[in-house]
Amino acid sequence: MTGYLVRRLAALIPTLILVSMLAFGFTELAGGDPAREAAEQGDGDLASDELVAELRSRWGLDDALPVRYVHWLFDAVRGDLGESYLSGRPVADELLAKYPATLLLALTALILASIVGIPLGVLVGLNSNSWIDHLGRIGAVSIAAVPGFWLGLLLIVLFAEVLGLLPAGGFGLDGHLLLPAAALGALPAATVTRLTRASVLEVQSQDYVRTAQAKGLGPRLVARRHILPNALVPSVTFLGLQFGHMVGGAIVIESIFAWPGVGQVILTAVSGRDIPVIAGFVLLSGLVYVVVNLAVDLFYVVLDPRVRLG
Amino acid sequence: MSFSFRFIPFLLAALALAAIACGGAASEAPAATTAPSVAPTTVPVDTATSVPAAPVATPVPATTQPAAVAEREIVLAVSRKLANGEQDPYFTHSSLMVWESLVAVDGVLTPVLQLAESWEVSEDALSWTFDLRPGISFTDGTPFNADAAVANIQRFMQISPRPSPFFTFSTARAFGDLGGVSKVDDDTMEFQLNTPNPSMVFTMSNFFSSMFSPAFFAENGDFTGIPAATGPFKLTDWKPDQFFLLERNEDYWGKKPLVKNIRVRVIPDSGARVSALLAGEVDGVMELGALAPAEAKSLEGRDGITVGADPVSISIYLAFATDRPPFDNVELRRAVAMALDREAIVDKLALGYATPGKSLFSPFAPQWLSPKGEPTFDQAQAQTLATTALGGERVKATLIFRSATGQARPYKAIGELIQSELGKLGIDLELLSLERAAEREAQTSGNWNLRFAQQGWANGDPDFLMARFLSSDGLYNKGRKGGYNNPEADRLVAEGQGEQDLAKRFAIYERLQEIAVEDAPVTPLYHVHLTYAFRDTIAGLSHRVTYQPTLDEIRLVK
Repeated sequence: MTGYLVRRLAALIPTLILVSMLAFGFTELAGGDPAREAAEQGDGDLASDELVAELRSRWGLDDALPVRYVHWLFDAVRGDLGESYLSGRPVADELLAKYPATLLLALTALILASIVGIPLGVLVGLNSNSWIDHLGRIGAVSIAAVPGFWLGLLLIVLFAEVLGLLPAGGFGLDGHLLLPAAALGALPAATVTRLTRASVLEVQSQDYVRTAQAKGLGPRLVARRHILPNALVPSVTFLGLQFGHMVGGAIVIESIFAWPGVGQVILTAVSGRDIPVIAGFVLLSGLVYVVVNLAVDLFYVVLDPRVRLG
Repeated sequence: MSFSFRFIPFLLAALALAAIACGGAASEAPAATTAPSVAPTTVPVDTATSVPAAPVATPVPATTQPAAVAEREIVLAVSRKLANGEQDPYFTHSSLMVWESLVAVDGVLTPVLQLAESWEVSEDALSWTFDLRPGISFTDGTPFNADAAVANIQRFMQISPRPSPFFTFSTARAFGDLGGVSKVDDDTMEFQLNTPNPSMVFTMSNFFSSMFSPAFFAENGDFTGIPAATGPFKLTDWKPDQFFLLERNEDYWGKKPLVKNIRVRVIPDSGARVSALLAGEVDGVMELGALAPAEAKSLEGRDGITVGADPVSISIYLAFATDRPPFDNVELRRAVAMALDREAIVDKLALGYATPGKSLFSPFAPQWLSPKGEPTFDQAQAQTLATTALGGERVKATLIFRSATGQARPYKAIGELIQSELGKLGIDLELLSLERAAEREAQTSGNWNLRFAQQGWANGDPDFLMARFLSSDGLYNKGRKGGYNNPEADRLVAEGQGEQDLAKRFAIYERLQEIAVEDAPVTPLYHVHLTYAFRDTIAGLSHRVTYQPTLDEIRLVK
């Protein structure tokens, strides 16, 4: 187990190097001049070529891409992610100040998706081909078909504008969290519902379930002891993998709900070609993604005793 | 299957409980108000005479304050962050009214004294002397005097150039070729230039001569915290991309604001801003980008909501690549400029929240405006000119524009209208919608024939616009590859820069406006009105021509 952990954590290093290289490369391919973007941002005006050249020289943008990347990498290894071209603030400060809010939103959305999607999937799975099943499936497909940002706007109109129950946006650990988490968690909830339903149906036809039924166990006990533990494995895998996507997907939802996560920082950084911020974000996201995957793998052992890591 | 049915009420109850438990937060927001007895008013302004008054050109004794001063915090939403922190040259945007400058501009974009009391320029325009207003202190108690002003300019020189989401600071841009700055006496300071800059009071206005307490200057030129300044408000707390808390400066030297506390909330999504307004979470939405024209239109006539549209110093132009086919032909450029139905663009696409293009200068600064600069709309004449220029042939051209401006600037719709008009002239126009950085790269590499240009004019300097539009080495022609080269225009721009006599200066800029119509290197499409809205809980919100909201004039109604 320890050896497995060490190997997985060691694999993190090449992964992070690769994703940061891709971040650098793709930003370069997207075109645009980071110095000009910085000089002409906001309601600023056109910048002279001299001013842009001065900034390019200050940030070493005239060096070849590999040279710039290696410089960045050496600094990053020492914990220095550089300064944002656009705001002048240290990248680490900018990201670490905002990342917890994004993680909180993604985590809440994940919990919502789990507490809604898994029970609903079990419910429709145990009642296959009944009206509950049909209703659940139609509901899940309908929600999966609605883009998150659109759902977000609908939720704002309904719960904030019409009913006045929840705030339309802003940060808070109370009602402020519920609507963005619902908008972000809706698609995973729908997918988990369908996934759990399919697993329940599959497990229901297994020999050990038939044996349990033949032993005379009641349907509730069969469901709790024999169906659910086996049917949950694919759903947990999916939710774990989904977490990384949610952190990415939160960017749009954050913008709609004025949620102060990394969303605005990244949107501004991408459109302004703020390479240090983009690279820093990719590095941090890669780290979160890999660590969550590892946690999911470890959770398998708890969920399914047949699994052995090593 | 009793198991499954028991699940449903549990789920519903859990969701309902969660909704109820979380509902408490919303109740803290200002309650949605009922309809007022008067119909909501719209305040689109078409003439410069209605431009809101200048900020604080002259101090008003504090005794003129109204007796009743509201105590409830007013909440206003904006689309973007208005503070950027210690590394920013100015920490906050001027819209928050936290800092003031030596020189500001008034409601018709004329430089006015703010923290300076008078200025004097030497005959060779190499030395500028400013007398400072006496008896003013920063909010930390540090006196505002020549020492403080000199320290501020020296800090600017130290950090130049420094990008900012508001305006990138550069000494060259602000003052020209600045050699140094020194204290003459306690209330007098002097700028020494290496080359003359007669326009310095224009170029240094607003952001570029903003003043902060030197007690907040770090060694590297950053701020050490929220800097104390001299404005009507103090910034007491802020979270980037979240909120800015403003508190009235009780010791303000001019007319004090009517309300004590204002919370400015950042809501980037325009739909969410409108929802927050309608739900009563915010008292108003304000500042640049507050409402897209379509949103403003949809809010008009709503009970309890007032929609406003104030003219600001931002104009939208159509720029031509004049040194390459097909628009190297001046007659073809004139044909295009004549074929544009600016009234239709304003009425149908900007939904009335704009003024049709009058000149390269904004009509909201009428002191430089000449009727000779107004483009004519004559489609028959345009057809004749195009036929002569093209000899019956058809040509292809590309119009590039920025995609991410959304509904605020309906570039795509305007492009389609222009595409249709130009098709009749024999020009097959391809529309190319590009992401921000890609559009900028297309501009600077010259991969365009026509492009939309949004140009602000916050300092009111006529040379600022004419040099970039018409000078052969101006930013539109050199940096953006417009390629326009007219020796007469170059000569006039140079003369305008050195001319101190106002009448002669006007004659120069009048001729340049005329040249802009004759040669059409750039043609105005429309002049923007800033659209915003507020609930009947407050009054007094409008925007100055420099798009600064009137935070100091807002008052609480209920």
